[in-house]
Amino acid sequence: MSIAIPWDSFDLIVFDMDGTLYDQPPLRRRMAALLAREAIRQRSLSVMRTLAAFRRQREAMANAVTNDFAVAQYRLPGHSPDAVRATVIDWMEQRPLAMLREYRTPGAGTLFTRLARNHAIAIFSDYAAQAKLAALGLSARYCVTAEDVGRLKPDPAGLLWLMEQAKTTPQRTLMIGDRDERDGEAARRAGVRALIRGRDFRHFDDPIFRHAS
Amino acid sequence: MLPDFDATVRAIADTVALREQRPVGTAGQASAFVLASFAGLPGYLRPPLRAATLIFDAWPVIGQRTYFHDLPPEERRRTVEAWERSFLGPARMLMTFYVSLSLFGLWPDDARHG
Ligand SMILES: [Mg+2]
Repeated sequence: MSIAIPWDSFDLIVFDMDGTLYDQPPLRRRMAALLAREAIRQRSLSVMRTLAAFRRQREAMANAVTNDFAVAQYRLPGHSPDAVRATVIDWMEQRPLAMLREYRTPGAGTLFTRLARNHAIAIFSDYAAQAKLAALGLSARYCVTAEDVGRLKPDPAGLLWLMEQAKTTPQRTLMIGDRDERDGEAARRAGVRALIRGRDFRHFDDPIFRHAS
Repeated sequence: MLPDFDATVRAIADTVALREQRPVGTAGQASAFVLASFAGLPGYLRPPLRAATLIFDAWPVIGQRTYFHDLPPEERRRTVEAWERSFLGPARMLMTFYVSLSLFGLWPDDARHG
């Protein structure tokens, strides 16, 4: 792979969070083991089923525009939205935090430090990202999530908002994510160039990041 | 024929995938996830779990003269559900362990490149 990135031509570097700034599979396996232990302890699969239904709902919502997205995502048949929200926050946001640092993508720390000298760094995520970013030991100038803009990727609303905040243009923005059909597509809709983990690079020690500064 | 750990895990994941109304992932993804999760468990947990899994696989031999992993889908489901409701704690725990990991493995996986 020999993609040359003209780093100087960008003002704003936008990172996706999950799967981009940390490795998801080992974290998922550990969370699955914790959930299995919880199911055995409670003698019930209800937490697992709630989370599975929530994930299905979110995936379905990515392909449809909903106006009350922030509320609608917790509306599952047979569940109280408050209970769903509490379960999601507990298991998908709070508990993984303690394990996150261990799975940070190699090279992320150095890359963020180098980029921060001449670029604005931003996070564009479908899930809450501030606490994860802190747990990863990283910092960004801007952070936008699906709840902030009421749209899931590949809707480019978050990306457009970030460019407005950074007072820059699509030509001077680079999106770095891990799913072409979400991050890549959001970037295309906004006229922004994208790098996709797994396709264009594996981690941030790869040669394409060597001249980033 | 002998009890077969991998085939048993695959058969349980298949059973869970068939039972779920709207799985997003496939049974193959679920069983791969369960096997990977098992491999990631602490070393002291794996031998007893493996032994319990082989006992589970051999259980239907008593009544049906067939290992669990060789049973037809309906019989597999009956066996899984009998163990889920078992009055024996370890049997119930074993099945809850596998069913919950299989359910997790059926989630949409946005981590293919992670
Ligand atoms: Mg991602």
